Amino acid sequence: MVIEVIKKVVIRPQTSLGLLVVLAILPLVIKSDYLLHVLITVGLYVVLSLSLNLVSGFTGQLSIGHAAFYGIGAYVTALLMLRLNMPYWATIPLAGIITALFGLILGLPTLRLRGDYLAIVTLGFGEIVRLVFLNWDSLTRGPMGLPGIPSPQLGSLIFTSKIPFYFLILMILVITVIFMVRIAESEFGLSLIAVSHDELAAEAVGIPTLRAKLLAFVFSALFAGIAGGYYATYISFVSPDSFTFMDSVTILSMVVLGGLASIPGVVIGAIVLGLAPEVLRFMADYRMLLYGALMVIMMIYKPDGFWGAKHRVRNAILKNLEKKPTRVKRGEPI
Amino acid sequence: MIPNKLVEMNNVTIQFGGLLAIDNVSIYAYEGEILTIIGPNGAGKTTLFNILSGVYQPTSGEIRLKGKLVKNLTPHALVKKGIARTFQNIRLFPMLTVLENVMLGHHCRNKEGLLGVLFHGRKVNEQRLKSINYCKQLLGVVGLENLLEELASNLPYGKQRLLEIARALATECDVLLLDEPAAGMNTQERIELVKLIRRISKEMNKSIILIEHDLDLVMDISDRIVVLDYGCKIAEGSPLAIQNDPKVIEAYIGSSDEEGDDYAVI
Repeated sequence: MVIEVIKKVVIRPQTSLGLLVVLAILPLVIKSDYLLHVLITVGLYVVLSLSLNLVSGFTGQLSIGHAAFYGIGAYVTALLMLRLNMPYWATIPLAGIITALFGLILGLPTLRLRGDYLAIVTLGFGEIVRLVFLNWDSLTRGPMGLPGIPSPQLGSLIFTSKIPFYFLILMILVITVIFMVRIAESEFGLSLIAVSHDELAAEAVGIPTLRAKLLAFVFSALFAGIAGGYYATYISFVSPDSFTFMDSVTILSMVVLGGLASIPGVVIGAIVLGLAPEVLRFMADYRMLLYGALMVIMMIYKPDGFWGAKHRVRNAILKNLEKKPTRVKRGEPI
Repeated sequence: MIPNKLVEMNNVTIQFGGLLAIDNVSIYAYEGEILTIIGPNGAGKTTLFNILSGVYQPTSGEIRLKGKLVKNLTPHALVKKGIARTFQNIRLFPMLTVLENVMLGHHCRNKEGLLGVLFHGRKVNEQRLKSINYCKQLLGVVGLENLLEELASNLPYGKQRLLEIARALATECDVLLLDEPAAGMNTQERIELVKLIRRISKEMNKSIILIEHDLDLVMDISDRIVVLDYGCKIAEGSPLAIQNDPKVIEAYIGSSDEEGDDYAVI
């Protein structure tokens, strides 16, 4: 089976390392600013869809307001940098934490809702956040947005070209992937999947389901906030138009099309849907049509997504432990 | 020495609108005892389980676990206090493996913390190893130790029931509630199940409260039987006493045909 072979290759640590090396030398080969910009955008989408995957994939809670968290992160960063002259590096944790706080505030009352109801509440939240950006003139300058957000500065290096931005998003992406993999390969990750399968059964084996959902929501918001902060400093302009319902739907489509609860799947989904509008650019106005058709076809023939959760490594926790002893032997004796 | 009452339910009533589903029922179970609840369909047996496991809160009455009053607790909090259950219609996590299902049962006894999850310190690894070995041991008890990597949904029905029992045991419970554990099992599987339940109660010293329709099995396995009808306790006693109780005979013969047939088998 081709799938089996691919599976064996994909789960090897060498594969991810090789991929990372390729990604690291890519900007030396690619000289075009446009291509780098596309890569950066795709990277941003990967981070966003991985963060949404924690809630909608692993925990099975349909959220269609993810762009709101992304927007909050962007505005927090923009305001901190513009009004308080904070350096970008100091705003990263703040953007993450403040956005996570919003996740907590939204999640606490609403995560008791199920399925469609939660979807509607998150939809409403997304709209409210956008309308606040639009109407709180004194803080956000409303529809005019916040221009002139400074670039990050590292020692004497000011991020002016795309290359340092590329490496920055690559770093954020790698941290996100590692975080998500570690969560997925833990009992906490299993408990999230259990909640998505059957909440009553999860409660009955002692999983505090509300707490699990809330944690998933908070971490999801945290990463979306960090992605938002990156966006603000990269584009150097934020306005309410960048965080609309359509953006939430795009991120959700990446997760669903890639494969709910599957980290490689979601990465593939974000790459495919992130590149699609660029690749299909020659079709001008018809490209959204094709984009839509692609989604319909996928859902009919591959409802599980590009790389569905059924391909997940079974008993990953056990397998990771089994790899350990050799490493211990080489190190100091226990 | 007087055995310990691990769980008791005193004068519990639950009302859904105008329906009195459980009417002033008291039951208890000792350490190492197998208590069976029987009764015609709709007698309130599963409702009783739902009250004991915290899914429903009783309208009145109290529940004590190891002598301590438990009130207004969510199901997961009760699991931590030592009550675990299985379901009438199996509720496993279908896309997870046999081992992962049992590990989730044991999850409530472990604490890894976010940093532990992210950085896999030696302490976390040791705990994981310990917990996995414990789960493997339990899977050995129910006879599924060779199927660690199988998805729960791929198991045959009888094995799914066993896995659910192993998952409940993994919570390190003192009281185990089994809702129709023999349903859908063939004769051989039933014999194995009876052995298993005895082993859990006598060797592991857990109280087992069981709902079952197969009266042969009930009479064989129970230390004591409680009979429910229309939400009321109509009889309680040893299997022999129950078989000869005129009230029980009346309740069963007066109820649906299926139940009547079952009784005729004895």
